[in-house]
Amino acid sequence: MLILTRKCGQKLIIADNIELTVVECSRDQVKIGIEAPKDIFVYREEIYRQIREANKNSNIASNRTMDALQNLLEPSQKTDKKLNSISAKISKNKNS
Amino acid sequence: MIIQSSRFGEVNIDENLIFDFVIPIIGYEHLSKYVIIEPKKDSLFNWLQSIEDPDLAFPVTLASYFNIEYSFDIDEEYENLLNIKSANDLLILNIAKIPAGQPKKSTINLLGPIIINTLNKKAMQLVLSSQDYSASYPLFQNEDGEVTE
Repeated sequence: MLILTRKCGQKLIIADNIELTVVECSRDQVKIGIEAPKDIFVYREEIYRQIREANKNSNIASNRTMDALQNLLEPSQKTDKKLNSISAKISKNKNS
Repeated sequence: MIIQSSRFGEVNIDENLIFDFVIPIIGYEHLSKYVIIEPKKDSLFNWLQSIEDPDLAFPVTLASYFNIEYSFDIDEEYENLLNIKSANDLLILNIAKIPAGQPKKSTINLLGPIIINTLNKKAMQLVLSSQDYSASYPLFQNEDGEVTE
């Protein structure tokens, strides 16, 4: 790991298009400003990991597990018009 | 066009229903094209199916179906990225995690909602900065299967 010491207000340049600025320092916290191109995504690490983990575990579900969950819930009249207008319908459900 | 889905086989979809994820789903950064597949009429859960990977599909639902109080701000930067003109054009979906054989332990991800501009089909997974929402919000209060309210 590369370790650099910086003072408040000083910057780091990563590649030629990402700029990190140490904006504020207190005893146990630093505030960091990030300037990066739009296609560079910056996340807080612990939140990134939580969401990545949740996404990964969600992809495991099958039609059968979804049906099992649907069956636990009362049939609902709640349908969202917006969702309905942009979702593809299964005309022939091969899994039924 | 015909797409492949490991859960549904070949599915014929309208190309206008394909979303372009300008910010990807976390952990799937190499994929950007998805479609929502409604498995049954009036289903509370739909599939957010990858066009590029037949095996990849996320169960998605709406927080409002479960009477969950849910609101957040979208940064202007993201509004611009999705070209959002009005909140009315937005569809907010939450990814569900449904453990096999244990549907009562299902949760939904409120921390990382899927934001879709229904007009131009641009989409993203937003990461909320607020710690008020869980990535694994339980849909049921307990093993008796009461819906969390």
